[in-house]
Amino acid sequence: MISVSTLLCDHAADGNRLRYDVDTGTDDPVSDSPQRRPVVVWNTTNRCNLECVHCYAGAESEPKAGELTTAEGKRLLDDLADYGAPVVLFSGGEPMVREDLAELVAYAADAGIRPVLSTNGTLLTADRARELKRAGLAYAGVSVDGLAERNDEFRGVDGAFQAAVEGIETCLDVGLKTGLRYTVTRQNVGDLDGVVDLLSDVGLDRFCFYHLSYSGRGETLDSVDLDTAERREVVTRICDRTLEAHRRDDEIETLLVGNYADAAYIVEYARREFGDDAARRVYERLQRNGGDPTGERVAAVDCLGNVHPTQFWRTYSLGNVRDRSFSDIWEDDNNPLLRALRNRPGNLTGTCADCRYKNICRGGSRLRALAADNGLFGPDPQCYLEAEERHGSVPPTNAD
Amino acid sequence: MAEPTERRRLDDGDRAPNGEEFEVFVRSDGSDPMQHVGSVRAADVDGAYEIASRLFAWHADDVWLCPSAEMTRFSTHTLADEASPADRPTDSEEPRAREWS
Repeated sequence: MISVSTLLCDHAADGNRLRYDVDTGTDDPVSDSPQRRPVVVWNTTNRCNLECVHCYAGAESEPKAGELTTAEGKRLLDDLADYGAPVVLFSGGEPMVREDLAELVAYAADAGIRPVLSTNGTLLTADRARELKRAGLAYAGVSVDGLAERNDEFRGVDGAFQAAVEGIETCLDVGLKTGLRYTVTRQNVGDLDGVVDLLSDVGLDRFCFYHLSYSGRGETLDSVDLDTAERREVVTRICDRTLEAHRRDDEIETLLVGNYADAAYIVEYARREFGDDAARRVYERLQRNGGDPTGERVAAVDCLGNVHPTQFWRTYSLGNVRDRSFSDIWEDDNNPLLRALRNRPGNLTGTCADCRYKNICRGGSRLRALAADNGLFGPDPQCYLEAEERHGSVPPTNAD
Repeated sequence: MAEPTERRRLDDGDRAPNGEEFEVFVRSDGSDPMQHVGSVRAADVDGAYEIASRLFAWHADDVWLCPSAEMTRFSTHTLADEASPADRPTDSEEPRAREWS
Protein backbone atom coordinates (compact mmCIF):
# COMPACT_ATOMS: atom_id res chain seq x y z
CA MET A 1 0.00 0.00 0.00
CA ILE A 2 1.60 3.22 -1.16
CA SER A 3 0.31 6.57 0.02
CA VAL A 4 0.46 8.98 -2.89
CA SER A 5 -0.69 11.84 -0.69
CA THR A 6 2.07 11.25 1.87
CA LEU A 7 4.81 10.83 -0.70
CA LEU A 8 3.86 13.75 -2.92
CA CYS A 9 2.08 16.09 -0.51
CA ASP A 10 3.48 15.24 2.97
CA HIS A 11 -0.02 14.33 4.02
CA ALA A 12 -0.06 12.89 7.53
CA ALA A 13 -2.38 9.92 8.03
CA ASP A 14 -3.06 7.26 10.65
CA GLY A 15 -1.75 4.45 8.48
CA ASN A 16 1.62 6.12 8.00
CA ARG A 17 2.82 4.77 11.31
CA LEU A 18 2.89 1.36 9.66
CA ARG A 19 3.31 2.28 6.04
CA TYR A 20 6.35 4.49 6.48
CA ASP A 21 7.36 3.50 10.01
CA VAL A 22 6.27 6.81 11.46
CA ASP A 23 7.16 7.37 15.08
CA THR A 24 4.18 8.58 17.06
CA GLY A 25 4.72 11.86 18.82
CA THR A 26 7.01 13.33 16.17
CA ASP A 27 6.36 15.70 13.31
CA ASP A 28 8.50 13.62 10.99
CA PRO A 29 6.19 11.56 8.75
CA VAL A 30 8.87 8.91 8.38
CA SER A 31 11.17 7.20 10.85
CA ASP A 32 13.84 4.54 10.57
CA SER A 33 12.32 1.75 12.67
CA PRO A 34 10.93 -1.03 10.48
CA GLN A 35 7.52 -2.71 10.86
CA ARG A 36 8.41 -5.85 12.77
CA ARG A 37 5.20 -7.83 12.53
CA PRO A 38 2.73 -8.34 9.68
CA VAL A 39 -0.67 -6.79 9.27
CA VAL A 40 -2.95 -9.84 9.28
CA VAL A 41 -5.90 -10.10 6.91
CA TRP A 42 -8.43 -12.51 8.36
CA ASN A 43 -10.92 -13.71 5.77
CA THR A 44 -13.51 -14.56 8.39
CA THR A 45 -16.00 -16.22 6.05
CA ASN A 46 -16.37 -17.31 2.46
CA ARG A 47 -19.99 -16.22 2.47
CA CYS A 48 -21.02 -13.06 0.65
CA ASN A 49 -24.29 -11.35 -0.19
CA LEU A 50 -22.92 -10.20 -3.58
CA GLU A 51 -21.42 -12.06 -6.55
CA CYS A 52 -18.50 -9.90 -7.71
CA VAL A 53 -16.94 -11.07 -10.96
CA HIS A 54 -13.41 -10.18 -9.79
CA CYS A 55 -13.62 -11.55 -6.21
CA TYR A 56 -10.11 -12.68 -5.20
CA ALA A 57 -11.58 -15.00 -2.57
CA GLY A 58 -14.03 -16.69 -4.89
CA ALA A 59 -16.73 -16.04 -2.28
CA GLU A 60 -20.08 -17.81 -2.44
CA SER A 61 -23.58 -17.44 -1.05
CA GLU A 62 -23.01 -20.07 1.63
CA PRO A 63 -20.24 -20.33 4.24
CA LYS A 64 -17.62 -23.04 3.83
CA ALA A 65 -17.92 -25.97 6.19
CA GLY A 66 -15.25 -25.72 8.85
CA GLU A 67 -14.94 -21.93 9.09
CA LEU A 68 -13.25 -20.76 12.29
CA THR A 69 -15.80 -20.40 15.08
CA THR A 70 -16.10 -17.46 17.46
CA ALA A 71 -14.06 -19.28 20.10
CA GLU A 72 -11.39 -20.30 17.61
CA GLY A 73 -11.29 -16.77 16.27
CA LYS A 74 -10.69 -15.39 19.73
CA ARG A 75 -7.85 -17.85 20.29
CA LEU A 76 -6.38 -16.75 16.98
CA LEU A 77 -6.65 -13.11 18.04
CA ASP A 78 -4.94 -13.95 21.34
CA ASP A 79 -2.09 -15.53 19.40
CA LEU A 80 -1.83 -12.55 17.04
CA ALA A 81 -1.79 -10.18 20.01
CA ASP A 82 0.92 -12.19 21.78
CA TYR A 83 2.93 -12.14 18.57
CA GLY A 84 2.56 -8.37 18.24
CA ALA A 85 0.52 -8.15 15.03
CA PRO A 86 -0.32 -4.45 14.85
CA VAL A 87 -3.50 -4.64 12.76
CA VAL A 88 -6.10 -7.25 11.91
CA LEU A 89 -8.18 -6.61 8.79
CA PHE A 90 -11.52 -8.38 8.99
CA SER A 91 -12.39 -9.43 5.47
CA GLY A 92 -14.33 -12.11 3.63
CA GLY A 93 -16.36 -13.08 1.67
CA GLU A 94 -18.31 -10.34 3.31
CA PRO A 95 -17.39 -10.12 7.01
CA MET A 96 -20.58 -8.25 7.88
CA VAL A 97 -22.57 -11.45 7.37
CA ARG A 98 -20.91 -12.87 10.49
CA GLU A 99 -23.17 -12.15 13.41
CA ASP A 100 -20.20 -12.27 15.79
CA LEU A 101 -18.23 -9.59 13.92
CA ALA A 102 -18.64 -6.87 16.56
CA GLU A 103 -17.72 -9.39 19.28
CA LEU A 104 -14.52 -10.30 17.43
CA VAL A 105 -13.69 -6.66 16.70
CA ALA A 106 -14.08 -5.83 20.38
CA TYR A 107 -11.93 -8.80 21.34
CA ALA A 108 -9.16 -7.68 18.97
CA ALA A 109 -9.31 -4.11 20.25
CA ASP A 110 -9.17 -5.28 23.89
CA ALA A 111 -6.17 -7.46 23.02
CA GLY A 112 -4.34 -4.44 21.67
CA ILE A 113 -4.68 -5.10 17.93
CA ARG A 114 -6.06 -2.33 15.72
CA PRO A 115 -9.21 -3.77 14.10
CA VAL A 116 -10.12 -2.58 10.60
CA LEU A 117 -12.72 -3.81 8.12
CA SER A 118 -12.95 -4.52 4.41
CA THR A 119 -16.58 -4.64 3.29
CA ASN A 120 -18.86 -4.19 0.32
CA GLY A 121 -20.73 -1.66 2.46
CA THR A 122 -24.20 -2.88 1.61
CA LEU A 123 -24.90 -4.17 5.13
CA LEU A 124 -23.61 -1.09 6.97
CA THR A 125 -26.82 0.04 8.60
CA ALA A 126 -26.67 2.78 11.21
CA ASP A 127 -27.16 0.27 14.03
CA ARG A 128 -24.35 -2.00 12.85
CA ALA A 129 -21.99 0.88 12.11
CA ARG A 130 -22.56 2.24 15.63
CA GLU A 131 -22.11 -1.24 17.10
CA LEU A 132 -18.79 -1.68 15.29
CA LYS A 133 -17.58 1.76 16.28
CA ARG A 134 -18.45 1.04 19.91
CA ALA A 135 -16.59 -2.26 19.61
CA GLY A 136 -13.46 -0.36 18.67
CA LEU A 137 -13.40 -0.64 14.88
CA ALA A 138 -10.82 1.88 13.65
CA TYR A 139 -11.62 1.95 9.95
CA ALA A 140 -13.99 0.54 7.33
CA GLY A 141 -12.86 0.30 3.71
CA VAL A 142 -15.84 0.06 1.38
CA SER A 143 -15.53 -1.45 -2.11
CA VAL A 144 -17.14 0.40 -4.99
CA ASP A 145 -16.02 -0.48 -8.50
CA GLY A 146 -17.73 1.98 -10.77
CA LEU A 147 -20.77 4.20 -11.00
CA ALA A 148 -24.14 2.57 -10.42
CA GLU A 149 -24.59 0.65 -13.67
CA ARG A 150 -20.99 -0.61 -13.87
CA ASN A 151 -20.68 -1.38 -10.16
CA ASP A 152 -23.92 -3.35 -10.04
CA GLU A 153 -22.90 -5.31 -13.12
CA PHE A 154 -19.57 -6.17 -11.43
CA ARG A 155 -21.24 -7.03 -8.15
CA GLY A 156 -24.00 -9.10 -9.68
CA VAL A 157 -26.72 -7.40 -7.65
CA ASP A 158 -28.91 -4.44 -8.63
CA GLY A 159 -28.83 -1.67 -6.05
CA ALA A 160 -25.40 -2.61 -4.68
CA PHE A 161 -23.94 0.78 -5.63
CA GLN A 162 -26.64 2.77 -3.86
CA ALA A 163 -26.41 0.53 -0.80
CA ALA A 164 -22.62 0.93 -0.64
CA VAL A 165 -22.81 4.72 -0.96
CA GLU A 166 -25.42 4.76 1.81
CA GLY A 167 -23.10 2.57 3.88
CA ILE A 168 -20.30 5.07 3.43
CA GLU A 169 -22.60 7.93 4.39
CA THR A 170 -23.72 5.98 7.45
CA CYS A 171 -20.12 5.50 8.57
CA LEU A 172 -19.43 9.19 8.14
CA ASP A 173 -22.62 10.02 10.08
CA VAL A 174 -21.66 7.88 13.07
CA GLY A 175 -18.04 9.05 13.05
CA LEU A 176 -16.48 5.81 11.82
CA LYS A 177 -13.43 6.47 9.64
CA THR A 178 -14.10 5.10 6.19
CA GLY A 179 -12.59 5.04 2.73
CA LEU A 180 -13.11 3.82 -0.82
CA ARG A 181 -11.62 0.61 -2.24
CA TYR A 182 -11.65 0.69 -6.04
CA THR A 183 -10.15 -2.11 -8.14
CA VAL A 184 -9.22 -0.50 -11.46
CA THR A 185 -9.83 -2.50 -14.63
CA ARG A 186 -10.29 -1.65 -18.30
CA GLN A 187 -14.04 -1.91 -17.73
CA ASN A 188 -14.35 0.64 -14.92
CA VAL A 189 -11.42 3.00 -15.44
CA GLY A 190 -13.77 5.44 -17.15
CA ASP A 191 -15.91 5.71 -14.01
CA LEU A 192 -13.03 6.43 -11.63
CA ASP A 193 -13.30 10.22 -11.68
CA GLY A 194 -17.05 10.11 -11.36
CA VAL A 195 -16.90 7.83 -8.32
CA VAL A 196 -14.27 9.97 -6.60
CA ASP A 197 -16.24 13.14 -7.32
CA LEU A 198 -19.48 11.62 -6.05
CA LEU A 199 -17.94 10.27 -2.85
CA SER A 200 -15.99 13.47 -2.24
CA ASP A 201 -19.30 15.29 -2.36
CA VAL A 202 -20.69 13.09 0.44
CA GLY A 203 -17.62 13.85 2.56
CA LEU A 204 -15.24 10.94 1.92
CA ASP A 205 -11.55 11.84 2.06
CA ARG A 206 -9.72 8.50 1.69
CA PHE A 207 -9.40 6.71 -1.65
CA CYS A 208 -7.57 3.40 -2.20
CA PHE A 209 -7.03 2.24 -5.76
CA TYR A 210 -6.25 -1.45 -6.27
CA HIS A 211 -4.56 -3.10 -9.19
CA LEU A 212 -6.25 -6.33 -10.29
CA SER A 213 -4.97 -9.44 -8.55
CA TYR A 214 -4.95 -12.67 -10.53
CA SER A 215 -6.59 -14.85 -7.92
CA GLY A 216 -10.02 -16.22 -7.12
CA ARG A 217 -12.44 -15.17 -9.84
CA GLY A 218 -9.91 -12.48 -10.88
CA GLU A 219 -7.66 -15.28 -12.12
CA THR A 220 -9.57 -15.44 -15.38
CA LEU A 221 -9.86 -11.70 -15.89
CA ASP A 222 -6.47 -10.78 -17.29
CA SER A 223 -8.28 -9.73 -20.50
CA VAL A 224 -9.90 -6.84 -18.61
CA ASP A 225 -6.68 -5.84 -16.90
CA LEU A 226 -5.16 -2.52 -17.92
CA ASP A 227 -2.32 -2.56 -20.41
CA THR A 228 0.90 -0.65 -19.77
CA ALA A 229 -0.22 2.60 -21.40
CA GLU A 230 -3.59 2.54 -19.64
CA ARG A 231 -1.93 1.84 -16.29
CA ARG A 232 0.54 4.70 -16.67
CA GLU A 233 -2.30 7.01 -17.63
CA VAL A 234 -4.50 6.12 -14.66
CA VAL A 235 -1.69 6.27 -12.08
CA THR A 236 -0.66 9.66 -13.49
CA ARG A 237 -4.26 10.79 -13.20
CA ILE A 238 -4.45 9.65 -9.56
CA CYS A 239 -1.22 11.51 -8.76
CA ASP A 240 -2.46 14.61 -10.60
CA ARG A 241 -5.78 14.54 -8.77
CA THR A 242 -4.03 14.20 -5.43
CA LEU A 243 -1.78 17.19 -6.10
CA GLU A 244 -4.66 19.30 -7.38
CA ALA A 245 -6.76 18.52 -4.31
CA HIS A 246 -3.98 19.37 -1.87
CA ARG A 247 -3.17 22.59 -3.73
CA ARG A 248 -6.72 23.74 -3.01
CA ASP A 249 -6.37 22.63 0.65
CA ASP A 250 -8.58 19.59 0.16
CA GLU A 251 -6.39 17.17 2.10
CA ILE A 252 -7.59 13.88 0.68
CA GLU A 253 -5.64 10.69 1.27
CA THR A 254 -4.97 8.59 -1.83
CA LEU A 255 -3.31 5.20 -1.89
CA LEU A 256 -2.25 2.71 -4.54
CA VAL A 257 -2.41 -0.97 -3.68
CA GLY A 258 -1.26 -4.24 -5.17
CA ASN A 259 1.46 -3.25 -7.63
CA TYR A 260 4.79 -1.95 -6.35
CA ALA A 261 5.84 -0.70 -9.77
CA ASP A 262 3.79 2.22 -8.47
CA ALA A 263 6.67 2.99 -6.08
CA ALA A 264 9.12 3.46 -8.92
CA TYR A 265 6.58 5.33 -11.02
CA ILE A 266 5.90 7.81 -8.21
CA VAL A 267 9.63 8.49 -7.86
CA GLU A 268 9.70 9.25 -11.58
CA TYR A 269 6.55 11.35 -11.25
CA ALA A 270 8.11 13.33 -8.39
CA ARG A 271 11.22 13.90 -10.45
CA ARG A 272 9.17 15.26 -13.35
CA GLU A 273 7.01 17.46 -11.13
CA PHE A 274 9.41 18.63 -8.43
CA GLY A 275 12.96 17.74 -9.46
CA ASP A 276 15.68 15.38 -8.32
CA ASP A 277 15.82 16.33 -4.64
CA ALA A 278 12.13 15.57 -4.20
CA ALA A 279 12.50 12.32 -6.13
CA ARG A 280 15.35 11.27 -3.88
CA ARG A 281 13.27 12.02 -0.79
CA VAL A 282 10.35 9.98 -2.14
CA TYR A 283 12.73 7.14 -2.93
CA GLU A 284 14.11 7.14 0.61
CA ARG A 285 10.63 7.00 2.09
CA LEU A 286 9.74 4.10 -0.17
CA GLN A 287 12.86 2.26 0.94
CA ARG A 288 11.48 2.39 4.47
CA ASN A 289 8.10 1.21 3.19
CA GLY A 290 9.87 -1.94 2.07
CA GLY A 291 8.22 -2.82 -1.27
CA ASP A 292 5.83 -5.65 -1.97
CA PRO A 293 4.90 -7.01 1.47
CA THR A 294 4.01 -10.61 0.54
CA GLY A 295 5.30 -13.04 3.15
CA GLU A 296 6.74 -10.24 5.25
CA ARG A 297 4.62 -7.29 6.29
CA VAL A 298 1.26 -8.75 5.26
CA ALA A 299 -0.14 -12.16 6.13
CA ALA A 300 -3.53 -13.72 5.65
CA VAL A 301 -5.56 -16.31 7.52
CA ASP A 302 -8.47 -17.71 5.53
CA CYS A 303 -11.84 -18.79 6.88
CA LEU A 304 -10.59 -22.37 7.39
CA GLY A 305 -7.48 -21.27 9.29
CA ASN A 306 -4.98 -21.61 6.45
CA VAL A 307 -2.17 -19.05 6.59
CA HIS A 308 -1.24 -17.47 3.23
CA PRO A 309 1.67 -15.21 2.27
CA THR A 310 -0.94 -12.61 1.24
CA GLN A 311 -4.71 -12.60 1.05
CA PHE A 312 -4.53 -12.98 -2.74
CA TRP A 313 -2.33 -16.11 -2.71
CA ARG A 314 -5.15 -18.59 -2.17
CA THR A 315 -3.58 -21.63 -3.83
CA TYR A 316 -0.71 -21.93 -1.36
CA SER A 317 -0.88 -22.14 2.41
CA LEU A 318 2.06 -22.07 4.80
CA GLY A 319 0.16 -24.01 7.45
CA ASN A 320 -3.06 -23.98 9.42
CA VAL A 321 -3.67 -22.24 12.74
CA ARG A 322 -5.60 -25.28 13.97
CA ASP A 323 -2.30 -27.20 13.77
CA ARG A 324 0.27 -24.62 14.86
CA SER A 325 0.21 -21.11 16.19
CA PHE A 326 0.28 -18.32 13.63
CA SER A 327 3.60 -17.11 15.01
CA ASP A 328 5.19 -20.56 14.65
CA ILE A 329 4.00 -20.80 11.04
CA TRP A 330 5.09 -17.28 10.16
CA GLU A 331 8.49 -17.53 11.83
CA ASP A 332 9.33 -20.91 10.31
CA ASP A 333 12.65 -20.16 8.63
CA ASN A 334 12.86 -23.79 7.48
CA ASN A 335 10.24 -23.08 4.83
CA PRO A 336 12.34 -22.54 1.69
CA LEU A 337 9.66 -20.50 -0.09
CA LEU A 338 9.20 -18.14 2.84
CA ARG A 339 12.97 -17.71 3.09
CA ALA A 340 13.23 -16.94 -0.62
CA LEU A 341 10.33 -14.47 -0.52
CA ARG A 342 12.08 -12.62 2.28
CA ASN A 343 15.28 -12.41 0.26
CA ARG A 344 13.63 -11.36 -2.96
CA PRO A 345 15.90 -8.70 -4.49
CA GLY A 346 18.72 -11.23 -4.74
CA ASN A 347 16.47 -13.83 -6.37
CA LEU A 348 14.71 -11.71 -9.00
CA THR A 349 15.25 -12.60 -12.65
CA GLY A 350 14.55 -11.13 -16.08
CA THR A 351 13.95 -7.40 -16.32
CA CYS A 352 13.77 -7.19 -12.53
CA ALA A 353 17.31 -8.48 -12.00
CA ASP A 354 19.06 -5.25 -12.93
CA CYS A 355 16.21 -2.83 -12.31
CA ARG A 356 17.34 0.09 -10.21
CA TYR A 357 14.05 0.08 -8.37
CA LYS A 358 14.06 -3.54 -7.24
CA ASN A 359 14.74 -2.56 -3.63
CA ILE A 360 11.60 -0.44 -3.38
CA CYS A 361 9.44 -2.72 -5.52
CA ARG A 362 10.84 -6.18 -4.69
CA GLY A 363 9.59 -7.49 -8.00
CA GLY A 364 5.93 -6.76 -7.39
CA SER A 365 3.44 -9.62 -7.27
CA ARG A 366 4.87 -13.15 -7.27
CA LEU A 367 1.36 -14.41 -7.83
CA ARG A 368 1.00 -12.54 -11.11
CA ALA A 369 4.51 -13.58 -12.15
CA LEU A 370 3.46 -17.21 -11.66
CA ALA A 371 0.13 -16.66 -13.43
CA ALA A 372 2.02 -15.29 -16.45
CA ASP A 373 4.38 -18.30 -16.45
CA ASN A 374 7.30 -15.99 -15.71
CA GLY A 375 8.52 -18.16 -12.85
CA LEU A 376 8.51 -17.64 -9.10
CA PHE A 377 11.04 -14.79 -9.31
CA GLY A 378 10.31 -13.56 -12.81
CA PRO A 379 8.83 -10.17 -13.71
CA ASP A 380 5.33 -9.16 -12.67
CA PRO A 381 3.37 -8.77 -15.93
CA GLN A 382 1.77 -5.64 -14.49
CA CYS A 383 5.10 -3.80 -14.30
CA TYR A 384 4.60 -0.70 -16.37
CA LEU A 385 8.01 0.95 -16.14
CA GLU A 386 9.79 1.82 -19.36
CA ALA A 387 13.29 0.54 -20.00
CA GLU A 388 14.93 3.91 -19.43
CA GLU A 389 13.15 4.22 -16.09
CA ARG A 390 14.42 0.83 -14.91
CA HIS A 391 18.05 1.58 -15.65
CA GLY A 392 20.48 4.06 -14.14
CA SER A 393 21.80 4.84 -10.71
CA VAL A 394 19.86 4.68 -7.45
CA PRO A 395 18.73 6.97 -6.01
CA PRO A 396 18.12 9.11 -9.06
CA THR A 397 20.69 11.85 -9.44
CA ASN A 398 20.79 15.08 -11.41
CA ALA A 399 22.81 13.29 -14.04
CA ASP A 400 20.06 10.74 -14.76
CA MET B 1 11.81 -38.51 32.47
CA ALA B 2 9.35 -35.84 31.26
CA GLU B 3 5.58 -36.38 31.54
CA PRO B 4 4.01 -37.93 28.44
CA THR B 5 2.70 -35.29 26.05
CA GLU B 6 -1.05 -34.62 26.06
CA ARG B 7 -2.31 -34.47 22.51
CA ARG B 8 -5.69 -34.03 20.90
CA ARG B 9 -6.89 -35.62 17.71
CA LEU B 10 -7.92 -32.82 15.37
CA ASP B 11 -11.13 -33.42 13.49
CA ASP B 12 -10.07 -32.85 9.93
CA GLY B 13 -13.33 -33.59 8.24
CA ASP B 14 -13.79 -29.95 7.28
CA ARG B 15 -10.17 -29.13 6.50
CA ALA B 16 -10.75 -29.45 2.77
CA PRO B 17 -14.52 -29.50 2.22
CA ASN B 18 -14.20 -30.10 -1.51
CA GLY B 19 -11.15 -32.35 -1.27
CA GLU B 20 -9.05 -29.79 -3.06
CA GLU B 21 -6.24 -29.23 -0.53
CA PHE B 22 -2.97 -31.20 -0.71
CA GLU B 23 -0.21 -31.22 1.89
CA VAL B 24 3.24 -30.76 0.36
CA PHE B 25 6.47 -32.41 1.49
CA VAL B 26 9.83 -31.76 -0.17
CA ARG B 27 13.51 -32.51 0.24
CA SER B 28 16.38 -30.78 -1.46
CA ASP B 29 18.33 -33.97 -2.06
CA GLY B 30 18.11 -37.66 -1.33
CA SER B 31 20.04 -37.49 1.91
CA ASP B 32 17.59 -35.05 3.54
CA PRO B 33 14.39 -35.94 5.40
CA MET B 34 11.09 -34.97 3.82
CA GLN B 35 9.93 -31.61 5.10
CA HIS B 36 6.35 -30.33 5.32
CA VAL B 37 6.19 -26.95 3.57
CA GLY B 38 2.46 -26.23 3.65
CA SER B 39 -0.39 -27.10 1.32
CA VAL B 40 -1.64 -26.22 -2.13
CA ARG B 41 -5.16 -25.96 -3.46
CA ALA B 42 -6.01 -27.68 -6.71
CA ALA B 43 -8.76 -29.76 -8.25
CA ASP B 44 -6.66 -32.94 -8.36
CA VAL B 45 -3.21 -34.25 -7.60
CA ASP B 46 -1.86 -33.34 -11.03
CA GLY B 47 -2.92 -29.74 -10.53
CA ALA B 48 -1.46 -29.81 -7.03
CA TYR B 49 1.84 -31.11 -8.38
CA GLU B 50 1.95 -28.36 -10.98
CA ILE B 51 1.52 -25.67 -8.31
CA ALA B 52 3.93 -27.30 -5.88
CA SER B 53 6.63 -27.74 -8.50
CA ARG B 54 6.35 -24.08 -9.53
CA LEU B 55 6.86 -23.07 -5.91
CA PHE B 56 9.52 -25.58 -4.87
CA ALA B 57 11.21 -27.04 -7.97
CA TRP B 58 14.12 -24.62 -7.51
CA HIS B 59 14.70 -26.11 -4.08
CA ALA B 60 13.55 -29.70 -4.10
CA ASP B 61 14.54 -32.95 -5.75
CA ASP B 62 11.55 -34.79 -4.36
CA VAL B 63 7.96 -33.63 -3.94
CA TRP B 64 5.35 -35.69 -2.12
CA LEU B 65 1.66 -34.78 -2.00
CA CYS B 66 -1.09 -36.04 0.27
CA PRO B 67 -4.76 -35.01 0.28
CA SER B 68 -5.22 -32.89 3.41
CA ALA B 69 -8.39 -34.74 4.30
CA GLU B 70 -6.39 -38.00 4.43
CA MET B 71 -4.04 -36.69 7.13
CA THR B 72 -4.83 -37.53 10.74
CA ARG B 73 -3.34 -34.97 13.08
CA PHE B 74 -2.51 -35.42 16.75
CA SER B 75 -1.40 -32.15 18.30
CA THR B 76 -0.70 -30.34 21.55
CA HIS B 77 -1.96 -27.14 19.91
CA THR B 78 -5.30 -26.06 21.37
CA LEU B 79 -6.94 -23.65 18.95
CA ALA B 80 -9.36 -26.06 17.29
CA ASP B 81 -12.82 -26.62 18.78
CA GLU B 82 -13.35 -29.90 16.98
CA ALA B 83 -10.77 -32.07 18.68
CA SER B 84 -10.92 -35.01 20.99
CA PRO B 85 -8.42 -36.20 23.58
CA ALA B 86 -6.13 -38.76 22.02
CA ASP B 87 -5.53 -42.01 23.84
CA ARG B 88 -1.96 -42.41 24.90
CA PRO B 89 -0.01 -45.24 23.34
CA THR B 90 -0.18 -48.43 25.39
CA ASP B 91 3.43 -47.84 26.30
CA SER B 92 3.17 -44.37 27.81
CA GLU B 93 6.91 -43.83 27.68
CA GLU B 94 6.97 -41.73 24.53
CA PRO B 95 10.33 -41.80 22.80
CA ARG B 96 10.30 -38.05 22.19
CA ALA B 97 10.34 -37.44 25.94
CA ARG B 98 13.40 -39.61 26.54
CA GLU B 99 16.75 -38.14 27.36
CA TRP B 100 18.82 -39.89 24.72
CA SER B 101 22.45 -40.27 25.51
